Amino acid sequence: MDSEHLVRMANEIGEFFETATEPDNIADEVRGHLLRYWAPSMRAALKDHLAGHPADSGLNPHVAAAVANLRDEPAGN
Amino acid sequence: MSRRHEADYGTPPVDSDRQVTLSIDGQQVTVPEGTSLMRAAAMVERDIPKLCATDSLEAWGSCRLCLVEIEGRRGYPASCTTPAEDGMVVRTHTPRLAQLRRNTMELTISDHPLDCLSCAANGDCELQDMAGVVGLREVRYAEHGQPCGANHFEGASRAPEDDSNPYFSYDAAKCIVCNRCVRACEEVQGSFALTITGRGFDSRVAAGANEAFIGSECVSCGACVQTCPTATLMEKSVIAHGQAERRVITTCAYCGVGCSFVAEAKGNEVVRMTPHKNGQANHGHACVKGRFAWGYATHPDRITTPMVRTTIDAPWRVVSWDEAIAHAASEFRRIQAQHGRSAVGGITSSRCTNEETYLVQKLVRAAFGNNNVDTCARVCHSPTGYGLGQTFGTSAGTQDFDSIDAADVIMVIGANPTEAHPVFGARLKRRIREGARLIVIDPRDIELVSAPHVRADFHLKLRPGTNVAVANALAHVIVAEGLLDEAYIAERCDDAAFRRWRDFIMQPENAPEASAAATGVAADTLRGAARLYARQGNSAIYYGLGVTEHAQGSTMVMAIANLAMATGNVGRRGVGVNPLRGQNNVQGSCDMGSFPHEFPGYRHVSDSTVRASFEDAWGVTLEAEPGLRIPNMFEAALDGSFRGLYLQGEDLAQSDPNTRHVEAALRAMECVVVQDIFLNETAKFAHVFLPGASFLEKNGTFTNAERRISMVRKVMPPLAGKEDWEVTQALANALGYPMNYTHPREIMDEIARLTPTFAGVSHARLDALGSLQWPCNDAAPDGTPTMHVGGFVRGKGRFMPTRYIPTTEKANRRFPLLLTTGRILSQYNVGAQTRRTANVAWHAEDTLEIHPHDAEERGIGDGDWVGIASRAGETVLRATVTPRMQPGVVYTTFHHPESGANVITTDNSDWATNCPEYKVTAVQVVRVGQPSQWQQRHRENDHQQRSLLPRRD
Ligand code: SF4
Ligand code: SF4
Ligand code: SF4
Ligand code: FES
Repeated sequence: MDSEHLVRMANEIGEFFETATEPDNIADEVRGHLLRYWAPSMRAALKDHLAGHPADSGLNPHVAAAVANLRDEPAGN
Repeated sequence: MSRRHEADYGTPPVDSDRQVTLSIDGQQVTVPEGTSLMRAAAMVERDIPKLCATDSLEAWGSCRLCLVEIEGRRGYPASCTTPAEDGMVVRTHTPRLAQLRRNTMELTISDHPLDCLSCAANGDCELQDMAGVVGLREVRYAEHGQPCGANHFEGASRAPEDDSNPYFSYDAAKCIVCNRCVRACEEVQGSFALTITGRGFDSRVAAGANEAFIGSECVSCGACVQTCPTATLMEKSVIAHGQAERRVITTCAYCGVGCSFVAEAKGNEVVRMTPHKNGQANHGHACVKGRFAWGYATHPDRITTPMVRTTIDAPWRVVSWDEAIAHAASEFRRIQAQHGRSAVGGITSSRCTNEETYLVQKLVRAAFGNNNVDTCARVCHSPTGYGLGQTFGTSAGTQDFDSIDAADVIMVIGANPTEAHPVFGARLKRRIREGARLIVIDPRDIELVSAPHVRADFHLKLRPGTNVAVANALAHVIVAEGLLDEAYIAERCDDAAFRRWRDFIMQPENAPEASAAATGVAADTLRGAARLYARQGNSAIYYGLGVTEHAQGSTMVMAIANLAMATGNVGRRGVGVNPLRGQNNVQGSCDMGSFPHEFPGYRHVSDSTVRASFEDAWGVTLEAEPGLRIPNMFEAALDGSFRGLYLQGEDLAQSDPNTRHVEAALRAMECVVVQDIFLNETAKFAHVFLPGASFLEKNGTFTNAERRISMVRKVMPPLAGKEDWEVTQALANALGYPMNYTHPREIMDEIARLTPTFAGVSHARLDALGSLQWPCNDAAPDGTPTMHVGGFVRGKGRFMPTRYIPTTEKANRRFPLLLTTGRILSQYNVGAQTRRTANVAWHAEDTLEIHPHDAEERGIGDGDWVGIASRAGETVLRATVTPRMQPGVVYTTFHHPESGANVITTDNSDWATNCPEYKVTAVQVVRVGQPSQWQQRHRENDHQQRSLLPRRD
């Protein structure tokens, strides 16, 4: 997967939730969205990207927090 | 033609609280006040002879055949124009009336050719019928069987024929000037293309200003042809083949209106499609596609044998069904063995039936063992699913089409119903003529902005990509000016979410004055539109792909839901939020669990209770994680982790954005299985071709934009021997997952068992009731015309803050114009069907619409070849210079593959759903002399791929 594209898509999700929810919830909402709508392979690729580029992942802070929190848990409801 | 097999009460039904009772030929009858005597009489089976009256049109009163006697009144009033009154005593048949009718008939017939036996309408002609009914025995105005004096049907005075329309002819010699065609064009279709010219003996029907039909404003809907009581307006197919021997009620396979049709056939050959009078979506109306453009089903390009090949450059080899299916199955299993269970997937189509779609997703989930299933709705209405799901709790339009008759204000956003949903468009225009007000939000001057007797009160001609800013500004005005429906919000909506939304929307950046520069919509126009939408009464929103196909598509759907909730416009007749679905079964394919994260009925794959119910029924363990969406599949194909794809009825290579990217992904796959009726663009990259069946060749159901499930019925046997569900079933069996359905009705029964919103649906009930709108279950046994009555599906309606985020696709120095895309009436989607019909008479090629100012700046004239370049690619089209566009914005359709409209669209997409941003692409346009490189390559490739087809004699 093209990580640049994944980063852009994840940031766009983050941009929506930055207004749509309270600051404390943004990372959770983004994480929830990724779990519900992204295939595991895409989440894994994004997680690998973040692990490989902790300082310059290109992910917005809330999104980076969300991605860092992705474990192999199943999609919530 | 006429339609003698359907009851005709002569004049339309009337709605009234007051009833009147009268006596007709001694029978007591009670009818709503305002009902005509003719209709009242027909209700007690006293059919009165008539020619100019029919119950789809307002009475006209010109033929004088329907005279009656009323006690206490002098003369012989026309029953079609005389309203029934309390206590009236009416006689429909007396010797005097019989004489008068005979005289009238005689006069009419004296100017009509008497070639009944060889007339195309023989046996299906109301004039013939009435001559018989009134007992016409002689025509005294004729001598020796020859008429005397001037007439319209022989010799020098013969009226001309007009054959210019590809589907019907107009033979003025047979016209009885009953005016039905003129009224049909006005009242039903709203095109006002016909008039009666001349007076007295000279009067005739004329299209436009005495033009040929094809050159007039006529949109070829066929309403006039259908209502003509004689052979004057006549389908060419009936002239060529004669009348039908049998009739099958089915559903149009084109757009999301889902019109009900009577397919009229002789043997296995369709001779005419007539819209079904009792069709609950269309009430007897149709458009040029559904009524006329069905000839593709028997086009010589149809591929009717399975084929396989080793590589996409090798010639196709015709094989048996068994071999093709076994080959496909073994390839899928080989790929899974080598590259993992997730390396293959399937794509369903909005053109296929619910049963077929359900089966494909079942095959992917149960036989492939992953959730890599998606549908073409991904690229059109997936944001509707997300946006309405978040706010209202379910992904569906809130109303039935009939609801528009109760709407006072209609807001149309990013939709062009008169072109893309013509029968609904005609309905909408009629409602506007009746006095409803209209707001149009669209970058172009679509027809609704100004049509005969229709004018938008407000046209917000926004810049493409600024939908959310406009919707937010509307909401800002509604809140700031105290136009909220506070009581509704308090009762129906989540309070905390509402407060957060209200604070957000009141931020100064959402004021219309603040966003005007970005949107191009003047603040006072926007305020006027907001006040109109929010005023007391019923306001309804209808929207299309101009809302969803944006980077903020899902956000915009939520912004629309916010507007409707803020003004209390959800949950009753006349209001609501209505996505106009592009293809016939977009709604159904979404309902049937085609999305990678959802089982049928919009239930997430991670929901263990739901998953357990499917595991039980299907006898397998199911994956709990969402699968890949279409654009994700392409990306995965390019990185080598996705290598096999089963496509049913979907043409990704033409319909998906950034064609070069899509083609590269398809080339990278090892096994592409295409199931389609034609060798479509995607089939050029396929290894296995499984011939599909058109809607005329199979049984099943479609679900239209109003959630209405209607039957599709087989009119002729499948040309390739199998209905599409049988092919999927065979593939599942070959993959080692048993499926044993004997008829699609069993598939629907399984859907109903597993999907609570479909619990009450079955083919038997559809046969009995005609159609059903889901949810249909114990709580709503006869279906649900209006949703969210009394409360939202999710409980409390949820307002969502929807910040406007400009798309990254911005006009700049290199690409200074914004390209947006759309559809036109005569063509359908990628055009695979309509291009293979006479509809090309109206739209032989896609053109680029450009404003005169932008054209002049570039030295471009009307009809010039222009190159259109974006950062994704380049193509060449002819220019249409038109002030319908705004400066800075260009527009094209995507009905022809060689146009390559999607070569230029980018892979930007909606943040929530990856629905492509088709509606905004930054481009440059220049005059050029030759097709683009992509087009030249496409032409060569097209030629080469055709040469790889087996030769047919
Ligand atoms: S085909 Fe339709 S648009 Fe054309 S003249 Fe007849 S009613 Fe009017
Ligand atoms: S064309 Fe047909 S419908 Fe129209 S006025 Fe003549 S007879 Fe009547
Ligand atoms: S294309 Fe749409 S409007 Fe036209 S007949 Fe078919 S369903 Fe009706
Ligand atoms: S049917 Fe009443 S006047 Fe023609």
